[in-house]
Amino acid sequence: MAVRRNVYELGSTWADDILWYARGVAAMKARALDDPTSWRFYGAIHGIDAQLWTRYGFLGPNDRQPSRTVVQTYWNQCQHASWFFLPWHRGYLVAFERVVRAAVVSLGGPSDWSLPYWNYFKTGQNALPPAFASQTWPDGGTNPLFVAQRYGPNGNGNVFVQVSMVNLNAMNSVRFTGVSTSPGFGGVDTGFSHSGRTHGALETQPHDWVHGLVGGARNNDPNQPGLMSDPDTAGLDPIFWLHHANIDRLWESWNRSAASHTNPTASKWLNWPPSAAQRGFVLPLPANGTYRYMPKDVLSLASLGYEYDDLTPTGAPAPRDVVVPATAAAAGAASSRGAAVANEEPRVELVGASDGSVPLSGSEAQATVRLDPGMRRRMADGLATARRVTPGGPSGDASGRTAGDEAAGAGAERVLLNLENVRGTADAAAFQVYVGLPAGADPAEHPENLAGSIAPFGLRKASLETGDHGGQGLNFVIDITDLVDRLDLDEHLGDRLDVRLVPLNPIAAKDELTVGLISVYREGD
Amino acid sequence: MIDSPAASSRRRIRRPLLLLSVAAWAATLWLHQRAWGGSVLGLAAAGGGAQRSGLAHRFICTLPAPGGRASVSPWSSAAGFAGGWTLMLVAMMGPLLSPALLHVVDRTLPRRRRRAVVEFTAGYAGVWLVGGAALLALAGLAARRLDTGVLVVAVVLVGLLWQCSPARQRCSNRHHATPPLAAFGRRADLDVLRFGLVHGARCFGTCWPWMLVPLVVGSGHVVAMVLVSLLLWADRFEPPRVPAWRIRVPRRWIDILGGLWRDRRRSVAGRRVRAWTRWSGVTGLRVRREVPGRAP
Repeated sequence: MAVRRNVYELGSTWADDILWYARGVAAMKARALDDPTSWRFYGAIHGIDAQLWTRYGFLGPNDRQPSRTVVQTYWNQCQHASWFFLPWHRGYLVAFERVVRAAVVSLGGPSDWSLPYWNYFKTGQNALPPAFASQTWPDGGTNPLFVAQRYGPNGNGNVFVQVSMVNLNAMNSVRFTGVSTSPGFGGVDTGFSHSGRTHGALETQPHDWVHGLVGGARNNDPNQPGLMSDPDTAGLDPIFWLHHANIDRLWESWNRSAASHTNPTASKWLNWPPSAAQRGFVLPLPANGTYRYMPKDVLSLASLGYEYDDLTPTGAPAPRDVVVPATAAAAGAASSRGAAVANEEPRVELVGASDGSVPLSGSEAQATVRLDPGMRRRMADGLATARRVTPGGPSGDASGRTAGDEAAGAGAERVLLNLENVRGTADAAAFQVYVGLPAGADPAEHPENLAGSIAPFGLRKASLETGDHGGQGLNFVIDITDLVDRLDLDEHLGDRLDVRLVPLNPIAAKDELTVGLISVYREGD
Repeated sequence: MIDSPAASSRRRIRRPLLLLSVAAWAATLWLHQRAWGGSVLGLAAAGGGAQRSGLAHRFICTLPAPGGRASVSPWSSAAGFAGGWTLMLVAMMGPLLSPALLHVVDRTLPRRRRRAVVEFTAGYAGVWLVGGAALLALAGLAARRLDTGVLVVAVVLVGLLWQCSPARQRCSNRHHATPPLAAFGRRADLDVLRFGLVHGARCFGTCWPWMLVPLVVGSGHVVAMVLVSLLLWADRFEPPRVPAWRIRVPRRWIDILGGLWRDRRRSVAGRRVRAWTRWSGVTGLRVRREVPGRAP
């Protein structure tokens, strides 16, 4: 069984796993664009934009383009804003790992080589792994893992994941899939459209954020995004794969953290695509091989031949709803009830919204979300019920709750902030969201009001009128249950809620990002 | 069948629309039987030389007036047309409105939902009524100069040309758009109404030539309605694409239907196997069977 290990705990900067990875990457980079196991071909599977690739030197007039059939079969395949986000990327990693392993073996390396992962949540491990930051490497010449178009959160080439911007709140998600106003851990069933606009909880945080923080934009100019910042170039950065290995690891960790954290059981998820004629998940393998898979084929790591050395998310707050079942029977019951809850349509209702769109430029934007009095009372009642079910409130002792309560979602009032129709051109224009600040308060002085943060990965594509989304942009959802619960307890929850958007770096007026609407929803009985 | 929360949400809107559509189809068929007599499909009856001309050409005399008596009154015929056209829209377009209506329902305060649905529907229907009147006038003018057969061929050719055009693709792409909707007061009313109008306009822009076909066909008007409905439904599954001139034949519906059929067979087979497994367990027979659909 191959073991994917933490890149920071391999023993040294150029330990075997990472050195062989670099050699495998170098071998892939030497292959032509139309070679299905080449670096650029694999990058294009995630996404390709001819203009960006040409500008960055990844596409030239002498490149042989694959045939139209090959392009339509393989390229621009990545699944985002959809409940297929996690299973597709798992298969993508499996196939990529096999391609690299084959290159490693051909160079005399170990046959059990595995892709490392980057756990940026672990203390002292948020900086870009040194093997990627160095321009040189032990084999001499330019380090294949180094990328010039990697600018970091400040746009100056110093690359690290700013820990104050990322979190593991997604690990508290009760269900894998939900609806567009409350998308769940893994994302929404978009039906047959495959052009979803709402990112699931794990995709929003930390996936999108790490893309934006690592890629950044040169000198914070959104017209010069780093490779990781844009879905059409992200697959070209060698760190992409270690980042997604961590996302994959977090999915497995979520599955194992509670008996009710089950994957969807709907046939349309397990058995996508419904017919061979419809574009499904297919990836090239070494020796002209092809890997066709469905989500049901990638649910068991053991069946895929790998495991992780550590499934601890690290740095996550204690999940609110986790209760260890006392017996296997209770675990089974919790699992089945969890599956029942997971498949039910959640009751999600609008509580209030801003008066209109919120343009974000400069260093801050403010909006007032007006709450409907009746819905606000219903929300407050739901939060009060949740406090009674969980003594001490959301962060209190949960020992009085049973696995059945957890699975059934008892006392499961949730409050969700929706940022709808976010449009703009700057995928690296990340921002923090503060809720309930007093009038005139400085957000930096009130970390307790930080609701979450958004990195609009894929924003440019979603804002194109000629694109899949018809130019409507993206939707993001932040769970603000705890924050609103505190405001309610402190009697600071009125009929108007202050929302502040604070960009990581000031946004120039010409690069303005617009939030179509800020709305608050409740999910509960 | 186990389904996702989002699919359950979509079904909640789709079912009443399907019921309305079925009722509208029934009413449309009854109207046409009254208008054409003899055949519920409106096919030409014996000696139907006059009946072979297009509906548009004969709408003044063909559509039943209130009270059931044929009339040459423009007012009663216009009312009759409006009623018949509305029924056509509900029958043909109703089920296609579910994504937009779901957006309205999900993004509106619970106490305003019924009002929002009415406002959206009014905006949408308003565009189609105005557009329908324009189509009818256009068809009527053409029908006075062209034989019905030539007119039908011309309309189909225009439809095929439009089907391949970038302008149509643009309308189709934007048809999927779901704008933000204000939550309170007059602004909420205006946003929903505007959404209905814009959605109706994009819908009209996507399929206006095909909606001409039932108007210009003489006999077989209902058959034309059925065929156009199937085309619009099939086209609904096509993904957005970059606007360009291309031959655009809806094909995705075949895969989707095939997948749904396969899922249903698997679900039925799974229930049978589980029932057999339970029965064999009760009777003590040791029979092991694989339950399809379970994750590996």
